[in-house]
Order: sequence, then structure tokens, then C-alpha cells
Amino acid sequence: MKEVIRSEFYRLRFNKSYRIAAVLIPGLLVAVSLFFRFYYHVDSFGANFRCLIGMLRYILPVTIVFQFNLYEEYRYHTIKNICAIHKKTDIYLGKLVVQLAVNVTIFVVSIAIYFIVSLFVTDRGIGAYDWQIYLGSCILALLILVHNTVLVDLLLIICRNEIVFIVSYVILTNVLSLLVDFIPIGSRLISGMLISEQLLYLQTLNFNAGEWIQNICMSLGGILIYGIAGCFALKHLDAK
Amino acid sequence: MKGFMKAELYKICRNRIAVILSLLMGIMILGVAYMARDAVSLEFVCHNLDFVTLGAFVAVILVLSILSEEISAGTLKNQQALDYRIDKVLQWKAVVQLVKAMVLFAYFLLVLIGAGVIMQYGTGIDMELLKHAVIKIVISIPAYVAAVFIMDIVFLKIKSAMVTVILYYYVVIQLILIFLIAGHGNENQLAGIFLMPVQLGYLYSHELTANTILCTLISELLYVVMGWGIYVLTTKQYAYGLVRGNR
Repeated sequence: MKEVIRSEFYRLRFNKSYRIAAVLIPGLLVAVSLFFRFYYHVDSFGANFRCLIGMLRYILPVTIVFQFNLYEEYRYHTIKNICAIHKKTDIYLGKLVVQLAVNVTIFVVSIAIYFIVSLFVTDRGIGAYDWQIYLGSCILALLILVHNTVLVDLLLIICRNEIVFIVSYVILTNVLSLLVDFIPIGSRLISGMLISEQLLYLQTLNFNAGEWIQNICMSLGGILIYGIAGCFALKHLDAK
Repeated sequence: MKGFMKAELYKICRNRIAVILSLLMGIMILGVAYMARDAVSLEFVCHNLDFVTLGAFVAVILVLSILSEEISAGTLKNQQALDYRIDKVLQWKAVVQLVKAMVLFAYFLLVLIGAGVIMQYGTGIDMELLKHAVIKIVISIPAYVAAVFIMDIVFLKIKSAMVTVILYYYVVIQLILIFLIAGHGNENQLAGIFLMPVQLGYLYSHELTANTILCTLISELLYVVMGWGIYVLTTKQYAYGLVRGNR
């Protein structure tokens, strides 16, 4: 697994789209913060933060760019080369660890930059209770990011085709949320596992401890299920 | 070009993925309409045309495969061996894409009307409401045509379908939505209408007036003509690069 991680990091160093996305995400967040402050005159930090949470819906798919390395293995049929050397579970875990490390790092850095810029341009009066809300939101947003990463990995392994992957991703993240309320059995459980529903909940920003823990658990459950399914799918993949 | 078109149509018919995904979406929408027939009315479908926007977006992505598969697999050179001009091949491919997109769009529209009929089965159908929804959808068709051209242009430049969709839908469209339209209210409706071709489905959430219809049609036609013009130039540039052996 160590070698897989090392080779993935080496590949990322020469990935142009990764560099662009790494600059694009923090840049977008700062641009949104400044835009809402000076164009829409959003003075309070809380309102500005709400705008950021709204933006997450569009920033999350940009992180798919970091997961390209997995897709390229299928595209160029080079997955068979690493399958000959390493165990499939190690390959899956190694690639996932690198993707998560990159996504989480960029997310944390972006949020930190956003907080600094927003604190400077909006009023600074953030109470202790507000900090709890922001911290809680960031933790949930981080889990949603991890959830998204694991889901994209699973879809890439199953689909192995760009177009099918994108359509499946759009259906899973957009269409299912429109339909889930009408499913007679287990709609609460299914909606809890959906990224779009979790983002909707995150946008409310007035959650109580019980609901927050429930959503965290749902997200962790989703990560676990998608992770196991991804590992299983790669293990049974006919790598030719 | 007869042989080429025949081959393209054969390829479309053999594309099981597109057929399965479209059928799946249709069945899902109809199933939900059946389950929600007591809770949701036709009004919900007509005012909240998210299904159409999403269906059309899925259609635009699916038709991108006609172009992306050939370019990704590097089989475009085979067409050259058959004495076809690459730029003409790419332009005809865009025409085939449009045909397929329109078929898919009509399919999603039929599904939507079917869902509406199921929902109103007991109470009767409000024809006025249905008429307005259908007019909105028909007016928005050139926007999807323009979207196909824009996606093709971006794809020919980037050569990755995934990055094209992410860049086009999640970055460009949503940024336009946030920076130019959101929060502006009615006074900037015009800006929204003019941007519609790059922001699928904006019309659906607004009132249908004669002015709106006129502005939308003019802007959409402008986008279609511009989109086609730029696409033709891009194909010529691409073909030149291919002949020179750059790709």
C-alpha cells in the first residue's frame, strides 16, 4: 500500500488539472466571500458563511478532478499492471487515502483562507455559540466531502466510462433527491445517505445536537457502505 | 456522407448505456408520479420543471459521447482514411448529436406529460397549466441546441468529457447563476433570459409573457448561430492539427 500511495503522490505532482483545481477552489471561495460582501452588502459573517455553504453544492463536483488518476488507469488499461504487483484491496485503499488526503487538505486550506478573508471584510463579532455552529458545519461539510470522494470512487470503478459516470453522478446527486420524498419505505434513511440532502440540512445552520449527530452517523454510514462496495467492486474487477 | 450517417445511426442504436439510462430515468419519474398521485398535483410539475432541466442536461451529456468516444479512442483518423474531411465529419457528428438530443428531449417531455396525467387522473387535467408548461419547454429547445454546441467546443479544446461537464455545468453555469442573477429580483430578468442558453432552465421559474418569449427566442437564436460558427471554426482548427499530426 505504501508504494501505491507514493506512486499516486508522484503522479499528482505532474497533474496539471490538479494544480488548476487546487487554485480554483480557494479562489472561488474568496471570490464568493468578497462578492457577497461588496456587491450584495452582506455585512454579517453568519450570512456570508451561509453563502459559502450554498456554494459547496457546486464546489464538491470540482474535487472529482483529483480522482482522475483512478479513472485514467481504466482509460489507458494500466490497472492490470498494478494489479499484477499489488493486492486489489491495497490499490483501492492506497488510491483512496491519497484522494482523501488531497481533498481534505485543500478543503481545510480553502476554509481557513475563507475564514481569514471573511473575518477581515465582515464584522468580527462572532460569539462562542456561533463558533460552535461554524465548527459543527465545517465538520459535517468535511464528512460530506469524504462521502463524495468515496461515492465517486465507487462510480468510477463500476462505470469505467466518462459519460456513464457523469450521468450516474448527476442522477445520484440531483434526481434521487427530487424523488426520495415519495419513496414509501425507508425514505428518511435513503435521504440521509444522499449528498444533496445532507447539503440541504447543512444550509439550515440552526441544527440541534441530536440532529447533528444523526446526520454525522448517516454520513459515516454512507461512507462505510460506499467504501465497502468500492473495495468489493475493485476486488471482483476483471482487470485486462 | 450517407455511409457515415448510417454508421453513426447504427452506433446510436447499439449504445445500450444511453438507452438503459434514459429508460431508467423515465421509469423513475413515472413511478414517483404514481406514488405521489394524491400528494402532488400537475401544478407541481409545471411550476417546478426540475425534471425537464435535469432530463435535458442528462440528454446533453449523453450526446457528448458521440463525439468523445471517437476522439478518446483515436478512431477519427479512420474517417480520414475513408477520404472524409475531418472538419466535415465533426460537423456532421454535431448534427447527429442534435438529432439524438431532440429525440431524448422529446422522450423526457413525454414522460413528464405522462407523469402529469397520472397525477391528475382523478381530478381532471388543467389544460391551461399544461399548455403554459409545454410552451415554456418548447421555447427552451434552442437553448439546449446551443448547449450542445458549447459543450462540443469546450470538449474539442479540453478533450475530456468529465472536465467539460464539470467546467461547463458546475463552474460556468452556476457561477453565472450566483454572480449575475441570484438576488437581483425582477429588474434583471432580462439578463437572466439572455444568459439562458448557458444556464439551462432559467425560464421555467419565471412568468410567461410576450416580452419574455421574444427576448428568449432572440437570445437563443443568437447563441445557436454563434455556437455553430465557433464550433465550425474549432473543427477546422482541430482537423488542421490532426492532419499536421499534432493529435
